[in-house]
Amino acid sequence: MHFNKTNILFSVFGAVILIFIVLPLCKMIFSTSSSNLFETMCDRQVLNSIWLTMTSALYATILTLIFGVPLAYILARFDFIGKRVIEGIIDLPVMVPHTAAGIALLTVFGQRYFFGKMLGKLGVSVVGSQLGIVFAMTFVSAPFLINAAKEAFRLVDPKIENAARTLGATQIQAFQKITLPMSRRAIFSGMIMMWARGISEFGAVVILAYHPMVAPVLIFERFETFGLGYAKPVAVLLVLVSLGVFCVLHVFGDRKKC
Amino acid sequence: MLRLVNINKRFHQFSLGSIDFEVQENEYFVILGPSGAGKTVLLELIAGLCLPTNGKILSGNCDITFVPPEKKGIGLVYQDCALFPSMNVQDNIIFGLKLRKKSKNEIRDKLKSISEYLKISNILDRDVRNLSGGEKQRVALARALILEPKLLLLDEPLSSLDMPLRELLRKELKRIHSESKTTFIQVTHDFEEAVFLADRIALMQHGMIIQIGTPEEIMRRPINHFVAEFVGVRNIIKGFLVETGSDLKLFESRAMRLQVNTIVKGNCHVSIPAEDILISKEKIESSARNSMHGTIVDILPRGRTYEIIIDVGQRLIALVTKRSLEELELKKGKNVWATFKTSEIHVF
Repeated sequence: MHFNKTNILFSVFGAVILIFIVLPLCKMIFSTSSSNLFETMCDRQVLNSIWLTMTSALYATILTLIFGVPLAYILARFDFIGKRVIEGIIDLPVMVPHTAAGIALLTVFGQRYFFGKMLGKLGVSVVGSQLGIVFAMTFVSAPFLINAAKEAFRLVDPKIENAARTLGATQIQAFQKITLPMSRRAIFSGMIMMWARGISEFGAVVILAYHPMVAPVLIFERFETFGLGYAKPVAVLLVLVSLGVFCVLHVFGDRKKC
Repeated sequence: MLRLVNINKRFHQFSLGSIDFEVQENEYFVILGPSGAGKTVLLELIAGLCLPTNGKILSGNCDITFVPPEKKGIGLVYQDCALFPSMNVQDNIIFGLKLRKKSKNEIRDKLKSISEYLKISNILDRDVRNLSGGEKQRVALARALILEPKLLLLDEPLSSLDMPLRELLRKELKRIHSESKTTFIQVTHDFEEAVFLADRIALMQHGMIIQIGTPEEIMRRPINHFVAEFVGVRNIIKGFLVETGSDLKLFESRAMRLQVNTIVKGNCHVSIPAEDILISKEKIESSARNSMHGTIVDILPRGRTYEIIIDVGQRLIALVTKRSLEELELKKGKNVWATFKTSEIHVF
């Protein structure tokens, strides 16, 4: 990079936002004593809750992979009436306040409502269960995966699929053998994004399922009842675990490229 | 072998209209037209990659209009090759055979023979993203030909290549076609390429086929002004025909009068092939010839020939060899006679 006036000016402005993001995280992490952190690591409630958060976000991601990726393909490949509306709907969860999203989900899956009642008769409860957590996470974070997949599919030239078809591949084989492998990396990074967004979800989850407590809810509860000193180690642990997993996944993802 | 019957395809802003032609067994059929004429769509229709709004595609006596592309047995090579970037050269080539669950031995043997035939044996392990344009085309051809399709569609296969390579691959295509039993349908916007390769050419404009014929027919007898210009006929003159009571009519334009032999009436165009205009210092007397006097306004080198632009009240372009240029001492400003036979004038 050239160090001319414009680039220096832009870098200075960029540095401000970087510091704004990094500083609070560093402050939080380095102001927590290691003994405190170690104590938290032995707290079964904390560990269970982090595990619950991670697995729920993973289930939400898998759910979206199954139902959202085919939709992403259709949106990337075909033009049809109402396509813009569908794209708008997919982006909607990003714009809706997450507590409002929780309320909305409650009006469908709440025990007093039709769907909730039906599921209740089958012995399935959404409210106050891991299923509720998964649903809340799916609702708010699915756009990240669907949009990533859509962009990835859009970058695959339809002519490449056509070529595969003329060579004897059915449409689904062309998708499996050509399009999917070509989009794999982008979809994988979309999954990471969605999973991360799921882990950090608080608003929708807290309304649909306060218990069992996911890590963000646990942090909130400890902060409310015991104060900053008790909430902080949990927050630090969650951040560290998330960071660790991300680094591993990114290295894994990059290696797949070669 | 393949017949298109009244094929129509409508899109939002473009439509393909009433396409009707038949391609013979083992023919090299070239669809020629400017970009945006609908040539690629036509190929995709034949391949079954999109469906016509109406009309039929027949193979022999079978209606194959709605047969999905994977069951048609028609190969397709795109301009940009559409190689699979997630696979190396070899896996690209054997993709179709693997889908057909052929035995390992068969795949190995066919791969060996096709890659030797197309001279790509040395690049089988390469990543397709690192191939040169010519190599990509060879791989794309190998990938399609290894399945021994009865029909191969080629969508501007040479137009993204540099000139020497393009000529080389052009010859290669002709060789492959003549040595195989496959029928070729190729799309191009390059007239020279079409003339070199085609048994017959179909000219396409605005989604319609406007003339089908051998290269010779199309060059000699373009059906309209567009075809004449597109195939590079240089002297196209607008005018009208005066009846003389016989087939030998008088053509009159703004600046010239010619004797022409035609059944066309009224307003028309004539074209005079530039290579059929004879240039001389003195007038050549003959009743069957049109002869006119003019001044050379420009001389342009065109490879091995020269284009002589003569003002006879209207600009005429004549092609001469270097030898005639020197023998006749042709120069700018020199007065010469331009002569051509009545039978060489095409009226449309």
